[in-house]
Amino acid sequence: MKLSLLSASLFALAMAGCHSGAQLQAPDGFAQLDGQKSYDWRAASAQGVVLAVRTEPNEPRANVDFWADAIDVRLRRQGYTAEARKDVKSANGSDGKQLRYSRVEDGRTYRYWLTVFVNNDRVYVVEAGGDRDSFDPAEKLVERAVLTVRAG
Amino acid sequence: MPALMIEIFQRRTTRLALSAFLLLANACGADKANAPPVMTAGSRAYTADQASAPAAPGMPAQAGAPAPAMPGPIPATAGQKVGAPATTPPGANAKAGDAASRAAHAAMLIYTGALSMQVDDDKIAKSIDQIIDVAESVGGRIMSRTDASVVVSVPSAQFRDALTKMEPIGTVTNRSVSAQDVTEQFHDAEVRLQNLRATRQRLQEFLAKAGNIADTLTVERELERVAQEIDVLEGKMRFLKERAAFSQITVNVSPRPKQAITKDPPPPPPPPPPPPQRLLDLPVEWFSRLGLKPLLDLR
Repeated sequence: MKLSLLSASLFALAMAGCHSGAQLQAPDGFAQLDGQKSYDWRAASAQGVVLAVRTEPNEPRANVDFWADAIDVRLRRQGYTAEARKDVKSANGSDGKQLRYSRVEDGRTYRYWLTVFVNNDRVYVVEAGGDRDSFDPAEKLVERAVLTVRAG
Repeated sequence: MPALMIEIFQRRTTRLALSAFLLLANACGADKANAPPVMTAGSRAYTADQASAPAAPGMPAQAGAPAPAMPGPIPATAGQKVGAPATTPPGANAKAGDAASRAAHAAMLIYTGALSMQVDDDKIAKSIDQIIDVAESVGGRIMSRTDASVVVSVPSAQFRDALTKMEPIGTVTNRSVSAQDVTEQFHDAEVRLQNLRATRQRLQEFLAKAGNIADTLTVERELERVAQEIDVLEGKMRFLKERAAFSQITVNVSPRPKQAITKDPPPPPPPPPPPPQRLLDLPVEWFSRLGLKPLLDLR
């Protein structure tokens, strides 16, 4: 009996360790940032382009379209200008939606990409942003890195 | 004694002749209906002239007809022939008088024209000036003028020309031309005048032969009456000649009605912007952590 309880505890710990959060493969020129609280993973380039991913509970339970729309409404209300909406697929084959925005702050234009994947329990949100002058040259790198996420 | 009887007889004969002449003279001058037969010949001449009378300018049915030739001065010879003494047998000079009348008189027509035209509101005075200029350019003159009309007199021979030149000044809305034929009036007056002159001549001859004061006074009174009639007839003929020589054109100028400007009604004011869409705030706490600010805040 004691053995059984011990085995179950170890398995639970192992599972918890495996589900520590989603990650990306940081592109060249990006440094992964440690000690993130709000994000599962975050990395930044020397020019200020930041990549991050977070995992949130799929509550209320919904599909990727719902979450993409809900986030889009929220961001527009906050003053983000939608520029594109794309269907994407993650490295492990999950369907996702990529929303691309721009925003002007203090006379500077910023890019903000948000890609969302959903499985039964989780919502994976990959964010990328930075000053347009820095972001646009790194656009291809960012695009590839976002799709390296393993959702679910 | 016989000499006295002869003298008495001669006086009675003279009185009788004078009375008969005065009777004839009165009949000649007092009533047009009793005019001598030469007048009938003249009337026939008028009728013939009228049949071939020139077209009245501006009248559509006679468009293209030349302007009438106004009668010139009456040849003295023709007048003398027509005005031969009443004792001349009517049939003897009827043909000659008829031919003379035809030659002497073309139709005497008094033209009266009226134009109504519309011009721009601010060009009424200028248009009236132009109408006067046209009249003067053909030898006419202004008769009267108001703010919106003008009456000009133009030579009858230039009547059509003047009308043609006036019409383009504005938009003609009404045009009327009328002609009054005074040929018969003129001819009648002329014949009566000639007869009266002959009567006056004869009265003067009687006056020279008058043997007593009573006869002299009687003839002088008759001479005075005839002279007055001659004056009246000469005035009438002068008037008719002048009227026929010039024709009047009345032009009424009115402002052109302003075209109703079909102005499109102003577009309705744009509807007020709809209130902002009412969006649900999903109870998703992590939404507040989305965005550039937290993403780029690396501290």
